[in-house]
Amino acid sequence: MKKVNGLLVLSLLIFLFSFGFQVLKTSRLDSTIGEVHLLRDRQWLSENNLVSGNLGRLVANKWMVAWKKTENKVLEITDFNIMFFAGHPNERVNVKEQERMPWLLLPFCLWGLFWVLNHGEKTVKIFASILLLNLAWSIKYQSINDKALAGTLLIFIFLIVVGIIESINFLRKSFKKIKK
Amino acid sequence: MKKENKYRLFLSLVILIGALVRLIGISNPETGFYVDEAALGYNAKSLIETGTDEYGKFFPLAFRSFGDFKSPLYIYSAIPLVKILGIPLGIRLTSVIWGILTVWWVAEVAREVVGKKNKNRNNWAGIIAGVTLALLPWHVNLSRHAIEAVMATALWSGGILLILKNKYPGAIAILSLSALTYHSTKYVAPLLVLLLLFFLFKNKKKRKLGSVMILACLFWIGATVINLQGFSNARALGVASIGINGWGKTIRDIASTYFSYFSPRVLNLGDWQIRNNVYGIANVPLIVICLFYLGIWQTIKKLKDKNNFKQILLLSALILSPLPASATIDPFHSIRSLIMVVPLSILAGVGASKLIDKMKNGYKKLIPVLVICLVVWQTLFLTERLLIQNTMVGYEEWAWGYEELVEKTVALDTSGYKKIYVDTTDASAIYSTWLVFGEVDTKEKIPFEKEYYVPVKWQSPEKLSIKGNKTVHFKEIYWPKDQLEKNTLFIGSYKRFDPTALRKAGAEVLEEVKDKTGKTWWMIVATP
Repeated sequence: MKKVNGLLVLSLLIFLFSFGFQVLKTSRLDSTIGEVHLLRDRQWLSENNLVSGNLGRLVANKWMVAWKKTENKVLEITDFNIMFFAGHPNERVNVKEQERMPWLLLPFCLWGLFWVLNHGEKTVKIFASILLLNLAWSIKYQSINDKALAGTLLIFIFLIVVGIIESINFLRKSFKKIKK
Repeated sequence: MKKENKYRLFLSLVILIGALVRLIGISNPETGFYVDEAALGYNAKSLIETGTDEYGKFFPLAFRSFGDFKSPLYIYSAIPLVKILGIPLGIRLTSVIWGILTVWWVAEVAREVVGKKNKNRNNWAGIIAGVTLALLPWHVNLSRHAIEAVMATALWSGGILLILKNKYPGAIAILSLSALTYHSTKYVAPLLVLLLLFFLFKNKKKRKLGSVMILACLFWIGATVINLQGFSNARALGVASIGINGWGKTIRDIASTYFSYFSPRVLNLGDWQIRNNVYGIANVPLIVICLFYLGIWQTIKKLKDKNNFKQILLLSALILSPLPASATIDPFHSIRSLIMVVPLSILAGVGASKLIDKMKNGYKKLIPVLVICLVVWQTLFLTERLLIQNTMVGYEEWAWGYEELVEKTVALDTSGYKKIYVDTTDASAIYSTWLVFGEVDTKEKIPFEKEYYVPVKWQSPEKLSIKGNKTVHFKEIYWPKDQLEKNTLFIGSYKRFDPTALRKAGAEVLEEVKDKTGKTWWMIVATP
């Protein structure tokens, strides 16, 4: 168990490092600076003394905008609607969406996830480590495209396979019960 | 201080903060005044002054309004405040009060779900659930405006709380009232009552058929009968996606929309319509999403217990909440799925309490400090976004400046003009705003051809008599054709009037309403 805990802590550190690096990188982009200018301009136009000084800067700065953009990337990587429904009904702007897996497999994926969560602390921790490492790798991409989603695809395939096996086992047990 | 007293004190502070972010600046003209708010407000005023709605119908079962047949309870509940404070403050404050009540009831539900056996844990669950909802941008934004869904959400949480407190007749009555408040609860509240009745039928100890219970059930049947009528379903059928693209695609579309309400990305991004979101802040913050998932998992695990009714109830409320919104043509819709904030906040509270419970005692002492820091940060962040960014970005969608436009029309000398036309291209319901700001006499009723409860296409009246003895006519303005009408006033969005076309026609811009950047949004144009 100690080794598993170590793996989880290491994965978390790698993810946090990667996330921090992405925030730093994104904060220097022109688009980020442009967005900060827009936010500050609106504060200035509002003629509201409360937000004209440091308080305004606290909630409208490049770190806040960069954090939000990086957070969006993390959420896109873990979004099952992008994986199973090509992002429908919330397709992303400027992204050519495509279905990566048939949506009918989604129940099996959830079943697989249920199995993992129900299979003891060790399994959960290993699964969480893999997920964190995948996130750490995927957020380095500028936009969340097929390449960035490759790792997530493998994780989802694993969950689907586990889900299918478990559902077959469940059906077998149910039939045996009925026969008895 | 006793743990119970400590909890009460913390909860009072949470409710106070929730009230503060909902109340700050609600009467500012910068927050705009949407057509639905105007329709709700005017009908409440009309009921106070004449006992009938804008069409002259005596206390209707559903308000025909511009053809969307509004569920009636919000308007009835707004009567006292509209009488005292008028419009728009009275109609909005009603929503704020329902929003604050929801925060209180959600905290109590979370506490009940965790149970009295876990003394410290249940208090934490209550506080975190309360904090989550008090500062949730999704709920804060909508409860600052007059929206029926806010009241329906309050009653939805109240019904769940009464079930958990074993007050079944009260729960059935409250859920039935919720079904008469908004379109979404119309479909899911009766299902939750059915679940409760099924549970009571199975449980011999709790199966008591007293006269109060019979009355509550009769009330539920009455509410369901009203909701089965054609007029009650007209709005829902108008936006339903069912069967539009064939059944195979319909099932896929409904499944994708339904699952999007559980997707972390979509929950975080929120609604596609600017007015239903707070600009530049997460609709549901990432930390809440994580606690929500943890809460779901904890609740599912508890299903193995013998006494699992609380968990079944909570998960049923969660599963049912986004169902009506999923069957519509739109993606994530904050208003239609607003009742989902109830199970979401409760589950976030349950998840957080489990996490705190697992911590070592040394770390536990840091939790209050962490919670206070997060509350201060979110309050500041949310207030700035609501007061500054949101008002400027959502200018057009909240119809900001329209009040000024009506006032300018009232003040304008229109004696030399043959007719005044108001554009309805973007919103056929814009006449509601004229009813309110044009101070139309409530004794003057709008004529209608068909029977009151027969569903019709959304429409505005042909004309209204506003303050200053002026008559405004409503129609879709089409400039290439309308410019031929001489000596006439045209009022509408800048989109209807191209500057070059105006110059060629020799038309004169009499008044303009501009935003703070100097951009013109609304215009009053006169033809020669």
